[in-house]
Amino acid sequence: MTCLSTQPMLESLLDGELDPNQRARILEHFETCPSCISEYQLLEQLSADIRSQVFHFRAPDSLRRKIVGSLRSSNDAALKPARPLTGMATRWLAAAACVVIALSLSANLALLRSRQTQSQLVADEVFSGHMRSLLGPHLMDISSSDRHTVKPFFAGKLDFSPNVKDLASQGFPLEGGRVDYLAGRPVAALVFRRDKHVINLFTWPSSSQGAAEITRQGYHSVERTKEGMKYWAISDLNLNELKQFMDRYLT
Amino acid sequence: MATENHKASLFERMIVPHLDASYNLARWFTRGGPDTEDIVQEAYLRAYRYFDTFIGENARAWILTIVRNTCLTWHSRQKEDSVMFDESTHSANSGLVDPEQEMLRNARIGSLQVCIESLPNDLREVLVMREIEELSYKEIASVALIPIGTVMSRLSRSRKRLQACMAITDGKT
Repeated sequence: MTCLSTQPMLESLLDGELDPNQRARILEHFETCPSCISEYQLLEQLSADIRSQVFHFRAPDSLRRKIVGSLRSSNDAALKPARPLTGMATRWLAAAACVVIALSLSANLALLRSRQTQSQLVADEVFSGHMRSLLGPHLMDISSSDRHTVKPFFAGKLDFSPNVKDLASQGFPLEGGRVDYLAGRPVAALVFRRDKHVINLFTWPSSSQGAAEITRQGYHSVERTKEGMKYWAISDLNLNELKQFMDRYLT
Repeated sequence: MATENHKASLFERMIVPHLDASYNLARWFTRGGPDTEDIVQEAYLRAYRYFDTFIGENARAWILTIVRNTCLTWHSRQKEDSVMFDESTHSANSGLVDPEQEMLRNARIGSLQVCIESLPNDLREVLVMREIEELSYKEIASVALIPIGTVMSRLSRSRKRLQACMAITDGKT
């Protein structure tokens, strides 16, 4: 491949949209072309900056309550906005409300930003932790499908006792586990398999609420929090089945 | 009645999990406008009404399409009052704010978020869907109703603009 043919594909590479053949050809070109590499790194940097500095807005609790509340009362007439989206009166009120919202928003912005940056950083570590475990010889420290063997393995190695389940009867057999390091602390990594796909389930005690679903380069990750424990499942298994795995793990 | 309860419960399990992503997309679309919550609520009302047409393939793309359409409806009602522009319709003599100048001005105030907010609508929504919602090109194409080639070119143009915007910001610090 030449630089001329590589450059238009750099963004597709970044966005995980190339097939393995195309990826391999570009990576091969990178081996002898520092200028294409540096252009690619600029794109990576921009993407990383966007993800770390710019945050996901979460639906306000009031909105969530309205929607879920009306669903549970099974009354779809209630699934109506408080006021219609037309009319000058609406816009006048909205403008006034805007000032109030802007003031309270700026106060919360710094707090939200740091919280969100943290979440993104953890996601980054989950992905690299998964990759490392697949590339190196160190996928498992304890290799056993018996949860009565895996769970006690962590005693004395972690300051908490992880919730270890075997979902073999549901097609997600436990393979083993290891101690890993994430979010600034030692965590339990439980290894499951679904056909040929490896699933890493990272778990540690955490009070931070979070339920992200992030996909990168064809790998999916699902975050859940339950009863003071954080769970991050990551795999190249398709997202639906990965979510199924997580749902069943947490019932 | 049983059918209604079943529908509501199914909707809650399949569509409501994407409420944060829906709010996020609407919020970026409206640039933090005060109607964001109402837009999302209206979008969910429509989604609930059309739920029978949902085949079950990709719930997130499905609800985000509805959210986006609801944003566009809101946008077209707002058009009389405010200045909103699309890159494709901007012309030098229109008297509207020059997007390049607007971006340079925002760069001096200096933050990536502000740079993104100053992108024209059609570029910004593709960037937000890719970088923040992490949708694939195919999903973005189906939500925004544009060909995949257009997704790629808009993404590319928005990234170049952001790099220029950030270069100015970095240059000043």
